[in-house]
Amino acid sequence: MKLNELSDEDLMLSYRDGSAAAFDVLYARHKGGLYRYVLRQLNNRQDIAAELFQDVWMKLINARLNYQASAKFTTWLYHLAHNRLVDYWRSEKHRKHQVEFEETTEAQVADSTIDNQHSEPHNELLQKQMHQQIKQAIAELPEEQRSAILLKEEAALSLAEIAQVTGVNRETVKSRLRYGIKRLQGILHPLRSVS
Amino acid sequence: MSSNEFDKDKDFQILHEKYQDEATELPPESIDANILQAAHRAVHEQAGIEKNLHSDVVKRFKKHPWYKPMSYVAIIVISLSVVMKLAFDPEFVEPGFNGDDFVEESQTLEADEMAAKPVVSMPEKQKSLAKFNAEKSQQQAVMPELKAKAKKRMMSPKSASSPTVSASRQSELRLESAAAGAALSEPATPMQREMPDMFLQESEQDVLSKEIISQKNQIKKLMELYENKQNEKLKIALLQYRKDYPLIDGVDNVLPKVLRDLEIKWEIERKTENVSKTPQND
Repeated sequence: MKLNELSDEDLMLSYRDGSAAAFDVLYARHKGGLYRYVLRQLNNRQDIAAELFQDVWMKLINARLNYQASAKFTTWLYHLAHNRLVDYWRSEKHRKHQVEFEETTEAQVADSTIDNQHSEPHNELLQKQMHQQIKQAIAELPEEQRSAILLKEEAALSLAEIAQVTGVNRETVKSRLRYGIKRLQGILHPLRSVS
Repeated sequence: MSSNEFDKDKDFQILHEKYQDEATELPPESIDANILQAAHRAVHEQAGIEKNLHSDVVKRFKKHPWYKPMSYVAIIVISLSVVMKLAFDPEFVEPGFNGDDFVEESQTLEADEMAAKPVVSMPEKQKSLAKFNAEKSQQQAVMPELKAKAKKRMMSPKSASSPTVSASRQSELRLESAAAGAALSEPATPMQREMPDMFLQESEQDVLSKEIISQKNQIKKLMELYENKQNEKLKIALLQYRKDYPLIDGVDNVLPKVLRDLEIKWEIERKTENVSKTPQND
Protein backbone atom coordinates (compact mmCIF):
# COMPACT_ATOMS: atom_id res chain seq x y z
CA MET A 1 0.00 0.00 0.00
CA LYS A 2 1.30 3.46 -0.92
CA LEU A 3 1.85 6.02 1.80
CA ASN A 4 -0.64 8.40 0.21
CA GLU A 5 -3.39 5.85 0.65
CA LEU A 6 -2.76 5.42 4.37
CA SER A 7 -4.89 7.16 6.98
CA ASP A 8 -3.45 9.94 9.12
CA GLU A 9 -3.28 7.61 12.10
CA ASP A 10 -1.39 4.93 10.17
CA LEU A 11 1.04 7.52 8.83
CA MET A 12 1.70 8.84 12.30
CA LEU A 13 2.27 5.31 13.59
CA SER A 14 4.71 4.67 10.73
CA TYR A 15 6.52 7.87 11.54
CA ARG A 16 6.68 6.89 15.18
CA ASP A 17 8.25 3.60 14.10
CA GLY A 18 10.92 5.39 12.06
CA SER A 19 9.47 6.20 8.64
CA ALA A 20 10.46 9.77 7.74
CA ALA A 21 8.57 9.48 4.43
CA ALA A 22 5.33 8.96 6.36
CA PHE A 23 5.86 12.29 8.06
CA ASP A 24 6.38 14.01 4.70
CA VAL A 25 2.97 12.82 3.52
CA LEU A 26 1.32 13.74 6.80
CA TYR A 27 2.85 17.20 6.77
CA ALA A 28 1.81 17.83 3.18
CA ARG A 29 -1.77 16.89 4.07
CA HIS A 30 -2.15 19.16 7.06
CA LYS A 31 0.30 22.01 6.70
CA GLY A 32 -2.12 24.34 4.83
CA GLY A 33 -5.10 23.83 7.11
CA LEU A 34 -3.11 24.12 10.29
CA TYR A 35 -1.20 27.13 9.10
CA ARG A 36 -4.40 28.96 8.12
CA TYR A 37 -6.03 28.02 11.41
CA VAL A 38 -3.13 29.53 13.32
CA LEU A 39 -2.93 32.47 10.98
CA ARG A 40 -6.63 33.36 11.33
CA GLN A 41 -6.50 32.90 15.05
CA LEU A 42 -3.64 35.37 15.14
CA ASN A 43 -5.51 37.89 13.03
CA ASN A 44 -3.36 37.11 9.98
CA ARG A 45 -0.02 37.94 11.59
CA GLN A 46 2.20 35.80 9.37
CA ASP A 47 5.45 36.05 11.35
CA ILE A 48 3.90 34.91 14.60
CA ALA A 49 1.72 32.38 12.81
CA ALA A 50 4.79 30.81 11.21
CA GLU A 51 6.57 30.67 14.57
CA LEU A 52 3.62 29.08 16.34
CA PHE A 53 2.97 26.75 13.41
CA GLN A 54 6.56 25.51 13.64
CA ASP A 55 6.24 25.09 17.41
CA VAL A 56 3.18 22.90 16.97
CA TRP A 57 4.92 20.57 14.55
CA MET A 58 8.02 20.43 16.71
CA LYS A 59 5.86 19.44 19.64
CA LEU A 60 4.31 16.72 17.52
CA ILE A 61 7.75 15.44 16.43
CA ASN A 62 8.94 15.32 20.03
CA ALA A 63 5.80 13.56 21.20
CA ARG A 64 5.81 10.98 18.39
CA LEU A 65 7.07 8.10 20.55
CA ASN A 66 4.11 8.46 22.91
CA TYR A 67 1.53 8.59 20.12
CA GLN A 68 -1.32 6.10 20.45
CA ALA A 69 -3.91 5.81 17.69
CA SER A 70 -6.76 6.03 20.19
CA ALA A 71 -7.95 9.45 18.96
CA LYS A 72 -8.21 10.96 15.50
CA PHE A 73 -4.89 12.41 14.38
CA THR A 74 -6.46 15.72 13.30
CA THR A 75 -8.03 16.17 16.71
CA TRP A 76 -4.64 15.64 18.36
CA LEU A 77 -2.86 18.00 15.95
CA TYR A 78 -5.38 20.81 16.39
CA HIS A 79 -5.45 20.25 20.11
CA LEU A 80 -1.69 20.89 20.17
CA ALA A 81 -2.22 24.02 18.07
CA HIS A 82 -5.07 25.24 20.28
CA ASN A 83 -2.94 24.83 23.40
CA ARG A 84 -0.06 26.68 21.79
CA LEU A 85 -2.37 29.54 20.83
CA VAL A 86 -3.80 29.72 24.33
CA ASP A 87 -0.25 29.96 25.67
CA TYR A 88 0.46 32.69 23.21
CA TRP A 89 -2.64 34.68 24.03
CA ARG A 90 -1.73 34.53 27.65
CA SER A 91 1.54 36.24 26.95
CA GLU A 92 1.83 40.00 26.83
CA LYS A 93 2.96 39.93 23.23
CA HIS A 94 -0.56 39.32 22.11
CA ARG A 95 -1.95 42.67 23.20
CA LYS A 96 0.76 44.55 21.39
CA HIS A 97 0.11 42.70 18.11
CA GLN A 98 -3.65 43.12 18.45
CA VAL A 99 -3.18 46.85 18.15
CA GLU A 100 -0.73 46.50 15.28
CA PHE A 101 -3.05 44.13 13.43
CA GLU A 102 -5.91 46.53 13.34
CA GLU A 103 -3.68 49.19 11.86
CA THR A 104 -2.04 46.94 9.26
CA THR A 105 -5.21 45.20 7.98
CA GLU A 106 -6.94 48.47 7.42
CA ALA A 107 -3.92 49.76 5.55
CA GLN A 108 -3.65 46.52 3.52
CA VAL A 109 -7.30 46.67 2.47
CA ALA A 110 -6.94 50.27 1.40
CA ASP A 111 -3.71 49.53 -0.52
CA SER A 112 -5.13 46.52 -2.33
CA THR A 113 -8.25 48.41 -3.24
CA ILE A 114 -6.23 51.23 -4.74
CA ASP A 115 -3.87 48.83 -6.57
CA ASN A 116 -6.66 46.64 -7.87
CA GLN A 117 -8.68 49.54 -9.12
CA HIS A 118 -5.95 50.25 -11.62
CA SER A 119 -4.68 46.78 -12.59
CA GLU A 120 -7.57 44.26 -12.44
CA PRO A 121 -11.14 43.99 -13.75
CA HIS A 122 -13.99 45.09 -11.53
CA ASN A 123 -15.26 41.52 -10.68
CA GLU A 124 -11.93 40.35 -9.42
CA LEU A 125 -11.69 43.42 -7.33
CA LEU A 126 -15.05 42.71 -5.79
CA GLN A 127 -14.07 39.10 -5.08
CA LYS A 128 -10.89 40.17 -3.40
CA GLN A 129 -12.74 42.71 -1.36
CA MET A 130 -15.23 40.05 -0.29
CA HIS A 131 -12.47 37.65 0.74
CA GLN A 132 -10.80 40.35 2.66
CA GLN A 133 -14.08 41.17 4.34
CA ILE A 134 -14.61 37.54 5.34
CA LYS A 135 -11.11 37.33 6.74
CA GLN A 136 -11.63 40.51 8.63
CA ALA A 137 -15.04 39.48 9.88
CA ILE A 138 -13.67 36.20 11.15
CA ALA A 139 -10.78 38.00 12.77
CA GLU A 140 -13.20 40.29 14.55
CA LEU A 141 -15.21 37.42 16.03
CA PRO A 142 -14.77 36.57 19.71
CA GLU A 143 -11.96 34.07 20.16
CA GLU A 144 -14.22 31.09 21.05
CA GLN A 145 -16.55 31.60 18.07
CA ARG A 146 -13.65 32.16 15.71
CA SER A 147 -11.94 29.05 16.96
CA ALA A 148 -15.07 26.93 16.45
CA ILE A 149 -15.63 28.23 12.91
CA LEU A 150 -11.98 27.79 11.91
CA LEU A 151 -11.80 24.27 13.28
CA LYS A 152 -14.88 23.43 11.25
CA GLU A 153 -13.57 25.06 8.10
CA GLU A 154 -9.87 24.25 8.18
CA ALA A 155 -9.76 20.93 9.96
CA ALA A 156 -13.26 19.75 8.96
CA LEU A 157 -13.83 18.54 12.50
CA SER A 158 -17.20 17.42 13.79
CA LEU A 159 -18.92 19.14 16.72
CA ALA A 160 -17.68 16.46 19.11
CA GLU A 161 -14.13 16.78 17.84
CA ILE A 162 -14.20 20.58 18.12
CA ALA A 163 -15.49 20.12 21.66
CA GLN A 164 -12.57 17.78 22.36
CA VAL A 165 -10.00 20.22 20.96
CA THR A 166 -11.32 23.28 22.74
CA GLY A 167 -12.15 21.46 25.96
CA VAL A 168 -15.85 22.32 26.11
CA ASN A 169 -19.00 20.27 25.62
CA ARG A 170 -20.75 19.66 22.31
CA GLU A 171 -23.70 21.99 23.01
CA THR A 172 -21.37 24.87 23.75
CA VAL A 173 -19.62 24.32 20.42
CA LYS A 174 -22.96 24.27 18.67
CA SER A 175 -24.05 27.60 20.18
CA ARG A 176 -20.66 29.17 19.46
CA LEU A 177 -20.96 28.21 15.81
CA ARG A 178 -24.49 29.53 15.63
CA TYR A 179 -23.58 32.87 17.21
CA GLY A 180 -20.50 33.12 15.03
CA ILE A 181 -22.48 32.68 11.84
CA LYS A 182 -25.09 35.15 13.10
CA ARG A 183 -22.42 37.76 13.62
CA LEU A 184 -21.10 37.11 10.13
CA GLN A 185 -24.54 37.52 8.55
CA GLY A 186 -23.89 41.21 8.02
CA ILE A 187 -21.14 40.29 5.60
CA LEU A 188 -22.71 37.08 4.29
CA HIS A 189 -26.01 38.63 3.09
CA PRO A 190 -24.49 40.81 0.38
CA LEU A 191 -22.35 37.79 -0.61
CA ARG A 192 -25.46 35.63 -0.89
CA SER A 193 -26.92 38.02 -3.47
CA VAL A 194 -23.62 38.01 -5.40
CA SER A 195 -23.32 34.20 -5.43
CA MET B 1 -28.72 21.43 15.13
CA SER B 2 -26.20 18.73 14.27
CA SER B 3 -22.98 19.10 12.31
CA ASN B 4 -24.82 18.09 9.14
CA GLU B 5 -27.56 20.62 9.84
CA PHE B 6 -24.88 23.28 10.01
CA ASP B 7 -23.66 22.13 6.63
CA LYS B 8 -27.18 22.62 5.20
CA ASP B 9 -27.49 26.12 6.64
CA LYS B 10 -27.44 28.61 3.78
CA ASP B 11 -25.29 31.18 5.56
CA PHE B 12 -22.85 28.53 6.58
CA GLN B 13 -22.71 27.18 3.01
CA ILE B 14 -21.88 30.63 1.67
CA LEU B 15 -19.27 31.12 4.35
CA HIS B 16 -17.79 27.74 3.53
CA GLU B 17 -17.63 28.42 -0.22
CA LYS B 18 -16.16 31.85 0.13
CA TYR B 19 -13.76 30.84 2.86
CA GLN B 20 -12.47 27.86 0.88
CA ASP B 21 -12.02 30.06 -2.21
CA GLU B 22 -9.65 32.35 -0.42
CA ALA B 23 -8.05 29.75 1.85
CA THR B 24 -4.85 29.43 -0.12
CA GLU B 25 -2.24 30.60 2.34
CA LEU B 26 0.59 28.20 2.98
CA PRO B 27 3.44 28.32 5.46
CA PRO B 28 6.71 29.82 4.24
CA GLU B 29 9.01 27.36 2.52
CA SER B 30 11.74 28.01 5.07
CA ILE B 31 9.37 26.82 7.81
CA ASP B 32 8.50 23.74 5.74
CA ALA B 33 12.18 22.96 5.35
CA ASN B 34 12.85 23.47 9.06
CA ILE B 35 10.02 21.19 10.13
CA LEU B 36 10.83 18.43 7.65
CA GLN B 37 14.50 18.58 8.55
CA ALA B 38 13.68 18.32 12.25
CA ALA B 39 11.36 15.37 11.60
CA HIS B 40 13.97 13.51 9.58
CA ARG B 41 16.72 14.27 12.06
CA ALA B 42 14.59 12.91 14.90
CA VAL B 43 14.07 9.64 13.03
CA HIS B 44 17.77 9.30 12.24
CA GLU B 45 18.77 10.09 15.81
CA GLN B 46 16.36 7.47 17.09
CA ALA B 47 17.74 4.91 14.63
CA GLY B 48 21.27 5.95 15.56
CA ILE B 49 20.65 5.41 19.27
CA GLU B 50 19.29 1.92 18.59
CA LYS B 51 22.19 1.17 16.23
CA ASN B 52 24.72 2.41 18.78
CA LEU B 53 23.21 0.25 21.47
CA HIS B 54 23.53 -2.76 19.18
CA SER B 55 27.01 -1.83 18.01
CA ASP B 56 28.21 -1.43 21.63
CA VAL B 57 27.45 -5.08 22.27
CA VAL B 58 29.06 -6.10 18.96
CA LYS B 59 32.15 -4.01 19.73
CA ARG B 60 32.51 -5.61 23.13
CA PHE B 61 32.40 -9.05 21.57
CA LYS B 62 34.91 -7.98 18.93
CA LYS B 63 37.26 -6.52 21.54
CA HIS B 64 37.15 -9.69 23.63
CA PRO B 65 36.66 -12.57 21.20
CA TRP B 66 36.83 -15.13 24.02
CA TYR B 67 33.52 -13.87 25.48
CA LYS B 68 31.37 -15.97 23.21
CA PRO B 69 33.10 -19.39 23.38
CA MET B 70 33.72 -18.86 27.08
CA SER B 71 30.05 -18.26 27.74
CA TYR B 72 29.10 -21.34 25.69
CA VAL B 73 31.56 -23.49 27.63
CA ALA B 74 30.27 -22.12 30.92
CA ILE B 75 26.69 -22.96 29.95
CA ILE B 76 27.63 -26.52 28.95
CA VAL B 77 29.66 -27.12 32.13
CA ILE B 78 26.93 -25.79 34.39
CA SER B 79 24.20 -27.82 32.71
CA LEU B 80 26.32 -30.98 32.77
CA SER B 81 27.12 -30.55 36.44
CA VAL B 82 23.44 -30.08 37.25
CA VAL B 83 22.56 -33.24 35.29
CA MET B 84 25.32 -35.22 37.05
CA LYS B 85 24.22 -33.91 40.40
CA LEU B 86 20.64 -34.90 39.69
CA ALA B 87 21.64 -38.32 38.47
CA PHE B 88 24.11 -39.37 41.15
CA ASP B 89 23.47 -37.39 44.30
CA PRO B 90 20.48 -38.86 46.17
CA GLU B 91 20.36 -35.89 48.56
CA PHE B 92 19.94 -33.55 45.64
CA VAL B 93 16.64 -35.19 44.71
CA GLU B 94 13.48 -34.17 46.52
CA PRO B 95 12.31 -36.53 49.30
CA GLY B 96 9.10 -37.38 47.46
CA PHE B 97 11.00 -38.94 44.57
CA ASN B 98 10.48 -42.71 44.43
CA GLY B 99 11.77 -43.83 41.07
CA ASP B 100 12.90 -47.49 40.98
CA ASP B 101 15.84 -46.68 38.74
CA PHE B 102 17.04 -44.10 41.18
CA VAL B 103 16.74 -46.54 44.10
CA GLU B 104 18.80 -49.12 42.26
CA GLU B 105 21.41 -46.54 41.30
CA SER B 106 21.68 -45.19 44.83
CA GLN B 107 22.00 -48.72 46.18
CA THR B 108 24.80 -49.38 43.74
CA LEU B 109 26.47 -46.22 44.91
CA GLU B 110 26.07 -47.18 48.55
CA ALA B 111 27.63 -50.54 47.73
CA ASP B 112 30.52 -48.77 46.02
CA GLU B 113 30.99 -46.46 48.99
CA MET B 114 30.93 -49.37 51.39
CA ALA B 115 33.43 -51.24 49.25
CA ALA B 116 35.64 -48.16 49.22
CA LYS B 117 35.52 -47.87 53.02
CA PRO B 118 36.01 -51.33 54.55
CA VAL B 119 34.59 -50.87 58.02
CA VAL B 120 34.57 -54.58 58.70
CA SER B 121 37.82 -56.56 58.40
CA MET B 122 38.02 -59.51 56.03
CA PRO B 123 37.61 -62.38 58.55
CA GLU B 124 34.67 -60.56 60.09
CA LYS B 125 33.20 -60.15 56.66
CA GLN B 126 33.62 -63.82 56.02
CA LYS B 127 32.01 -64.54 59.32
CA SER B 128 29.05 -62.27 58.70
CA LEU B 129 28.65 -63.77 55.25
CA ALA B 130 28.61 -67.27 56.70
CA LYS B 131 26.14 -66.18 59.34
CA PHE B 132 23.91 -64.62 56.73
CA ASN B 133 24.06 -67.74 54.55
CA ALA B 134 23.19 -69.93 57.51
CA GLU B 135 20.21 -67.74 58.39
CA LYS B 136 19.13 -67.70 54.79
CA SER B 137 19.28 -71.48 54.43
CA GLN B 138 17.34 -71.80 57.69
CA GLN B 139 14.71 -69.41 56.39
CA GLN B 140 14.52 -71.19 53.05
CA ALA B 141 13.99 -74.47 54.85
CA VAL B 142 11.20 -73.00 56.94
CA MET B 143 9.63 -71.00 54.14
CA PRO B 144 7.57 -73.67 52.25
CA GLU B 145 6.13 -74.88 55.51
CA LEU B 146 5.25 -71.34 56.62
CA LYS B 147 3.81 -70.46 53.25
CA ALA B 148 1.60 -73.55 53.36
CA LYS B 149 0.44 -72.61 56.85
CA ALA B 150 -0.33 -69.08 55.81
CA LYS B 151 -2.25 -70.31 52.79
CA LYS B 152 -4.24 -72.63 54.99
CA ARG B 153 -5.13 -69.76 57.28
CA MET B 154 -6.21 -67.65 54.36
CA MET B 155 -8.46 -70.41 53.07
CA SER B 156 -10.21 -71.09 56.38
CA PRO B 157 -12.68 -68.25 57.20
CA LYS B 158 -12.46 -68.64 60.98
CA SER B 159 -8.72 -68.48 61.24
CA ALA B 160 -8.21 -64.82 60.35
CA SER B 161 -9.89 -63.08 63.24
CA SER B 162 -11.57 -65.74 65.22
CA PRO B 163 -12.36 -64.64 68.76
CA THR B 164 -12.17 -68.24 69.94
CA VAL B 165 -8.43 -68.52 69.24
CA SER B 166 -6.55 -68.77 72.48
CA ALA B 167 -3.91 -66.28 73.54
CA SER B 168 -1.11 -68.83 73.20
CA ARG B 169 -2.27 -69.70 69.69
CA GLN B 170 -2.41 -66.02 68.77
CA SER B 171 1.16 -65.45 69.91
CA GLU B 172 2.19 -68.58 68.00
CA LEU B 173 0.52 -67.20 64.87
CA ARG B 174 2.23 -63.88 65.31
CA LEU B 175 5.60 -65.58 65.60
CA GLU B 176 4.88 -67.66 62.51
CA SER B 177 3.87 -64.62 60.48
CA ALA B 178 6.95 -62.74 61.66
CA ALA B 179 9.13 -65.64 60.62
CA ALA B 180 7.33 -65.82 57.27
CA GLY B 181 7.87 -62.07 56.83
CA ALA B 182 11.55 -62.49 57.60
CA ALA B 183 11.77 -65.37 55.16
CA LEU B 184 9.98 -63.41 52.47
CA SER B 185 12.16 -60.33 52.86
CA GLU B 186 14.87 -61.69 50.65
CA PRO B 187 17.43 -59.39 49.00
CA ALA B 188 15.58 -57.64 46.21
CA THR B 189 18.21 -56.60 43.70
CA PRO B 190 20.79 -58.83 41.98
CA MET B 191 23.55 -56.87 43.73
CA GLN B 192 21.95 -57.57 47.09
CA ARG B 193 21.72 -61.29 46.23
CA GLU B 194 25.36 -61.44 45.20
CA MET B 195 26.79 -59.36 48.05
CA PRO B 196 24.37 -59.68 50.95
CA ASP B 197 26.85 -58.47 53.59
CA MET B 198 27.05 -55.14 51.79
CA PHE B 199 23.35 -54.65 52.13
CA LEU B 200 22.84 -55.45 55.76
CA GLN B 201 20.11 -53.47 57.36
CA GLU B 202 21.07 -50.78 59.80
CA SER B 203 19.98 -52.89 62.80
CA GLU B 204 22.01 -55.84 61.55
CA GLN B 205 25.05 -53.62 61.22
CA ASP B 206 24.54 -52.46 64.78
CA VAL B 207 24.32 -56.04 65.97
CA LEU B 208 27.47 -56.93 64.06
CA SER B 209 29.42 -54.02 65.48
CA LYS B 210 28.24 -54.93 68.99
CA GLU B 211 29.33 -58.50 68.43
CA ILE B 212 32.73 -57.36 67.24
CA ILE B 213 33.14 -55.19 70.32
CA SER B 214 32.10 -57.98 72.67
CA GLN B 215 34.46 -60.40 70.82
CA LYS B 216 37.31 -57.95 71.25
CA ASN B 217 36.49 -57.56 74.95
CA GLN B 218 36.47 -61.29 75.39
CA ILE B 219 39.84 -61.59 73.68
CA LYS B 220 41.14 -58.80 75.90
CA LYS B 221 40.01 -60.71 79.01
CA LEU B 222 41.57 -63.89 77.64
CA MET B 223 44.86 -62.08 77.13
CA GLU B 224 44.72 -60.72 80.67
CA LEU B 225 44.17 -64.25 82.03
CA TYR B 226 47.02 -65.51 79.88
CA GLU B 227 49.34 -62.75 81.07
CA ASN B 228 48.37 -63.43 84.72
CA LYS B 229 48.94 -67.17 84.05
CA GLN B 230 45.48 -68.12 85.34
CA ASN B 231 45.36 -71.23 83.21
CA GLU B 232 42.25 -72.84 84.67
CA LYS B 233 40.18 -69.72 84.24
CA LEU B 234 41.69 -69.23 80.79
CA LYS B 235 40.70 -72.76 79.82
CA ILE B 236 37.04 -72.18 80.82
CA ALA B 237 37.01 -68.74 79.19
CA LEU B 238 38.43 -70.12 75.95
CA LEU B 239 35.76 -72.83 75.88
CA GLN B 240 33.10 -70.18 76.41
CA TYR B 241 34.67 -68.00 73.68
CA ARG B 242 34.66 -70.90 71.23
CA LYS B 243 31.01 -71.57 72.01
CA ASP B 244 30.19 -67.96 71.24
CA TYR B 245 32.42 -67.71 68.21
CA PRO B 246 32.72 -71.11 66.53
CA LEU B 247 35.50 -71.83 64.03
CA ILE B 248 34.85 -71.17 60.36
CA ASP B 249 36.48 -73.89 58.26
CA GLY B 250 38.79 -74.61 61.22
CA VAL B 251 40.25 -71.10 61.11
CA ASP B 252 40.06 -68.19 63.57
CA ASN B 253 42.15 -65.24 62.50
CA VAL B 254 40.81 -62.98 65.23
CA LEU B 255 42.11 -64.89 68.22
CA PRO B 256 45.80 -64.16 68.99
CA LYS B 257 48.21 -66.92 67.96
CA VAL B 258 49.34 -67.70 71.52
CA LEU B 259 45.79 -68.24 72.68
CA ARG B 260 44.91 -70.28 69.59
CA ASP B 261 47.96 -72.49 70.20
CA LEU B 262 46.93 -72.96 73.81
CA GLU B 263 43.39 -73.77 72.71
CA ILE B 264 44.65 -76.39 70.24
CA LYS B 265 46.98 -77.83 72.87
CA TRP B 266 44.20 -78.11 75.45
CA GLU B 267 41.83 -79.52 72.84
CA ILE B 268 44.32 -82.29 72.07
CA GLU B 269 44.80 -82.93 75.77
CA ARG B 270 41.04 -83.11 76.30
CA LYS B 271 40.67 -85.53 73.41
CA THR B 272 43.47 -87.79 74.67
CA GLU B 273 41.90 -87.74 78.14
CA ASN B 274 38.58 -88.73 76.61
CA VAL B 275 40.23 -91.50 74.60
CA SER B 276 42.01 -92.81 77.70
CA LYS B 277 38.78 -92.61 79.71
CA THR B 278 36.69 -94.46 77.12
CA PRO B 279 38.29 -97.99 77.44
CA GLN B 280 38.11 -97.67 81.25
CA ASN B 281 34.37 -97.08 80.93
CA ASP B 282 33.99 -100.03 78.52
